[in-house]
Amino acid sequence: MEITNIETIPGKTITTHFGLVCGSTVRSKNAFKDIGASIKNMFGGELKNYTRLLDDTRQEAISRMIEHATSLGANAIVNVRFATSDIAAGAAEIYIYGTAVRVE
Amino acid sequence: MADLIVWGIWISLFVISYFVGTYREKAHFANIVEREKKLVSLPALSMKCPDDRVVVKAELVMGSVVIGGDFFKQVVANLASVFGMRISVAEAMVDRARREAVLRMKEKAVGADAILNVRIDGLKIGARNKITGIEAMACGTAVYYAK
Repeated sequence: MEITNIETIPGKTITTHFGLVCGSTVRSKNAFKDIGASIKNMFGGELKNYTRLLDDTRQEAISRMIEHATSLGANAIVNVRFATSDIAAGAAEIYIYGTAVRVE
Repeated sequence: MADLIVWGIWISLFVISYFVGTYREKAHFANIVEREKKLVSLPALSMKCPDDRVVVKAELVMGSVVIGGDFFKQVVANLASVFGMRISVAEAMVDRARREAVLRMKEKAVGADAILNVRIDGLKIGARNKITGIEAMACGTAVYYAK
């Protein structure tokens, strides 16, 4: 599965469009890990727990999008966009969408 | 007496977080500048079209980071928001987060010749009136030209 965030896959031609595919995940923070983060928050610096959490969440959303695209019979996804939203205190939604295509 | 202790803790936290936070910020900026110099040969572009060369591979790369604000910054930001001032401590924080995110994205594209259509996205973490942390995420399409 080839994924890009530009309109084409360079060097290949798009033969079929399958429409929009998307993947989303909602994750909340871990209250226990948050204690460590709040101590670290006194002195600044990178919050590695949060970085990892958001990274995992994005990977999961991408793999869901790929699953959706595979079920349609596509072999590439172009023009991928990321969107995030806070849905509750301490929870975030990551939404990823793109156009599933078949390239040759 | 109890009030005095609370104030003592508050003030010492304020002062310590200022020194520790500033030290770490400087160290981080020095680190960012050094890595940026190393990766200057891999351009991150906001254009969408690759050069007129044969592309052998294109893939999505991304990098993200969460930078936390310190106690000092939160107090300053709260004070500044009363008077409507420019919050320079927060500016440094977001700048740091974005540059780090772009660097992490570049580090994932090992051997690529360019990264096209770079988008930087962000997310604020924490309650509405507090700066707990700022997330920056950079993503783009890494292209590998035929040699």
